[in-house]
Amino acid sequence: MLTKPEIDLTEIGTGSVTAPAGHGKTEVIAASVAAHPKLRFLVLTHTNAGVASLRDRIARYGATGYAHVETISALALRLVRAFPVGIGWIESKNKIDYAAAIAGAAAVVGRPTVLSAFASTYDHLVVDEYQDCTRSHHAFIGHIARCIPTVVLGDPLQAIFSIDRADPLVPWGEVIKAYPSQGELSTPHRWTATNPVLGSWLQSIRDPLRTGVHPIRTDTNVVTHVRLDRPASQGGLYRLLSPGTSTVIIVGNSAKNAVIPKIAQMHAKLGVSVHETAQQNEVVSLCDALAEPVNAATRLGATTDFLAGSASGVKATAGFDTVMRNVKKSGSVGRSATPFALAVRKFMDQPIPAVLNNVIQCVLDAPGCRIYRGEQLAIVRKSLITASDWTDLPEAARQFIDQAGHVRHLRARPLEVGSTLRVKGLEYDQVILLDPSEVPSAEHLYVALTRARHRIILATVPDQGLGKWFTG
Amino acid sequence: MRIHELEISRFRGIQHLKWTNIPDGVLALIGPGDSGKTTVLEALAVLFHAYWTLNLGENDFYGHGTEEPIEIVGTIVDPPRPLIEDRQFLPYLRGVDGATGYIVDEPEDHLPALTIRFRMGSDFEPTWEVICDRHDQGTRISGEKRRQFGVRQINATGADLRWGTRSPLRTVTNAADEDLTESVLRDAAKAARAQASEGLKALGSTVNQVAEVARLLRAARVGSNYSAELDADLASLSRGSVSLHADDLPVERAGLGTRRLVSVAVESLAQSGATVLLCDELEIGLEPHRVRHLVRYLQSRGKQVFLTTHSPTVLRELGVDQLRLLRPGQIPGSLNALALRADEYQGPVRTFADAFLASRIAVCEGLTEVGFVLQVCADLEASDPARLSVVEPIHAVGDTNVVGYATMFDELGFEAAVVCDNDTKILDLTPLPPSVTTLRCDVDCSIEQQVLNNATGDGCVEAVGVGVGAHGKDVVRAQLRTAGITDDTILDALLTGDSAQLAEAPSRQVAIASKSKRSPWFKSVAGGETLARIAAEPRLVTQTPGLVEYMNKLRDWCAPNADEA
Repeated sequence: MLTKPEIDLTEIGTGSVTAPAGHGKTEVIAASVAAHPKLRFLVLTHTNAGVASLRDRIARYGATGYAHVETISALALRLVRAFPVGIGWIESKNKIDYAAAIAGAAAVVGRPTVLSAFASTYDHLVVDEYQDCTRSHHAFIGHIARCIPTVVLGDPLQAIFSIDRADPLVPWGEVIKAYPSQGELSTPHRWTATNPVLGSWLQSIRDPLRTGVHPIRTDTNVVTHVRLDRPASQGGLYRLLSPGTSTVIIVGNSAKNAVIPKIAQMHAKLGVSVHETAQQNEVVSLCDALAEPVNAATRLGATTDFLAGSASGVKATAGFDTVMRNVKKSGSVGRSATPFALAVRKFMDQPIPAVLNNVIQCVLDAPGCRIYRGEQLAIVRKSLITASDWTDLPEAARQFIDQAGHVRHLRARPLEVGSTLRVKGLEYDQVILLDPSEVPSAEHLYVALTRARHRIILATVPDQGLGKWFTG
Repeated sequence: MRIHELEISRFRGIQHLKWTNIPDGVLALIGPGDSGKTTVLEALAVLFHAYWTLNLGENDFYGHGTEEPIEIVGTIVDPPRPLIEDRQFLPYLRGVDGATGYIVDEPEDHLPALTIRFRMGSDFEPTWEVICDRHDQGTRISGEKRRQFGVRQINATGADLRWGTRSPLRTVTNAADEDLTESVLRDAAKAARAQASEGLKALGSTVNQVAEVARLLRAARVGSNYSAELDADLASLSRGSVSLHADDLPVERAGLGTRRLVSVAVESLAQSGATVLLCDELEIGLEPHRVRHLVRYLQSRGKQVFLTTHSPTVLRELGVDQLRLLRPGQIPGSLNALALRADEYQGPVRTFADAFLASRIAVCEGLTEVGFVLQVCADLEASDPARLSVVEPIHAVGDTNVVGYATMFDELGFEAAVVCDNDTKILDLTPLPPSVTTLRCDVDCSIEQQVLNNATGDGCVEAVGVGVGAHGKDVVRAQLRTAGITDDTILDALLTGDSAQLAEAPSRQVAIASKSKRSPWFKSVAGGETLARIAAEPRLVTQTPGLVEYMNKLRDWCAPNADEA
């Protein structure tokens, strides 16, 4: 099992390694850790999924004890909680301001006494996915790097996380000033077993994308251009999909997120679901709404709306429209005796969280109902069962969300639809890229294409061409 | 590593005590018995106690009241690195300003520090936590981690000199050597068994008797063989059976002093992990030269040592900045107030080392007064079992120093008195603090005059005898003449000791003669003692109300009733 790492990160000292997608970056980190049982590593990355994957890989080497793996945000949060006074850290019970935590943590490790105690814990710092670091991440890591040899790994072509306009991603040119470039991983390992041709094609597009010399030629048997007869949001993908295959549908324009649940809904019969992110904002806002002092009818309404956004065929449940109309108007169910009406009546008589879950169960049991956002639905239901009171609900939900985030591995399910931002880091046999002309940047394009293990389909609607990125 | 601050609340005799800015190096807590010195050391031992078992009970609460918890809080500068690392106690890291010694809760560029709090309330459940101001909750610290601080008590008990579990010797022994010991012990047990077997056949007849009845009772098979064997398995022969020997004698059988020195030696090894040593009554069992050597060794270690001592030898070895005085019955809120100021006190500490260990100090103008005080105390202790002398007389060498020394001891918290003449105008006692007791002769009197002015004929003869013994008859005759005795009959009577010839005792003249500058009769400790004996004897000195008052005042202050002391 113990293989010598392609690059031993400890020999670099402080520097950077460019790691294209699928080139064995995680493997290099794990192997470097495993090769030095006497050194203590701190390995940082951005997401819980990333942490899980790194821990997994390191554990496979039996080297778990040599490295502490954590997200940058989690580390920052620990530091600001440890030294809250000087930076004025006040934590709201409901929402953690991670941007403030990163800035605060940078100030905390900027203090020589704290830095020295912190730095004596570790012999090496490894930061993964460095292209996703914002300027404040970069400043935070920079303090630690003054005291600990630090290697950052990343790929400027995958720099797509830019959530906060006030805190933009750090340009790679600045990264290599602080962490001199020590080379680039050169073997597309991911595709050796699946499709080496795709692997080398994806390698070949890096330079054109980096330098801006495109369109890219698609005259290869790994990329297909398919013209749809109607938009995906109207069911245009039906003939391209077969249930159970490992496929991801990526919307070209990641700003048009609203279209994602629509696509899932339209293709729910084939088993298409939305790839969900760990934040679960909709769960949080539903539970916050339910915790407000409102009447049972309002709670029921908010919940069925959420339900309709998580599964298809909700409103087709027998008696749904009548019951909902009656409840809204008069606060009572009326004479309907459908299973849904009975469940709602019970809830109106005893308006507590657990009984509301029975209403959800009743809807999901109805024939024709298909879940396409299973994870968020499961969290809401677990929270309703756990919470003894409406006011407990948000806290319960947050705990389940955290749990889900921590246990979540890089896990792709068959037939998912998402944006580049959401599916980054995941792998599918097939990528269907919708509206490729609308892909906003070379980075988004590279991330979308490298999700594929076997083949790529570029799907366009009738009045649309391949656009500036590709040529046939 | 250094203990920087210590705060003790409601522990044994200490209601509250705070000691800030504790320096590095050897620190001696001094003061008379029951002043709380040992309690300070014990508090440190409790704070860094490495195990969960802790023998504290109701009697360890101040005033035996368990309503409020015992609390011991210590701040450590430069704690062992592993303890302040990330995912250890980093969230509780504090700082100490190197220049001012102030504790900074969130350190910027300061010396790293941790604060530990021990607490025990009425449930007698001890808790040890790392705390800081910025977190409401402390976090528990385990015995193993408390041990990492390396604060060790030098107990010098037998167990400390054996290789038993958790012993200091075990700590400094490496794992391979320990494994070897284990197998050596197993072999030794086997050999001992084999060797004893033959000799123990002497017990055969008894064994056979037992075996016979046992067989009748079917306890044993017919034909099974009973014998007496040495039960020497590893349980009886454990690593605790191995002890340190010197010249084939176990060190634990040596005197306390030797045991203590060996214990210090064990903790001095680098691998012992010891940083701060605690040593109660350092000098016990050691001759002055070995005490001196030990103090010098500890000084050279350069690490903190907290010790208590009643030994002037230890005091003379240390700088005054290394001494902390504790006073009985008036335990101060702060030990810092008692730090001795080096420039002022280094000389007196060396000169009056004994006095610094007493509770009352009689600052004496001259040697006469020193002897006088000693004799008064001795007489009183001999005649009245209720009296206990608590005074240490010191010789101020001249009246000009009296006020200075008395003020110094008073400031340090000692009870001080001045014992001096009243025959010159030079000595001005008005600058003395009001808390200093004045034991001064009556106006126009030296101590000789205070006593001899009321001498009987016998008293005069006795005094002259002292003078003659010291300086010869001719000198004394001349002195008496100068003092105004011109009548040869009287002079002869005095010098020959024939008091019957004295119609009237020339006491005032004898008194003046005795304090002659060139050849004084009583200006020595022995002279003072003689003078005190004369003063107390009604046959020699008429016990006038003035003299009685003077003597009683002296007696009561120097040797009060034992229960008052």
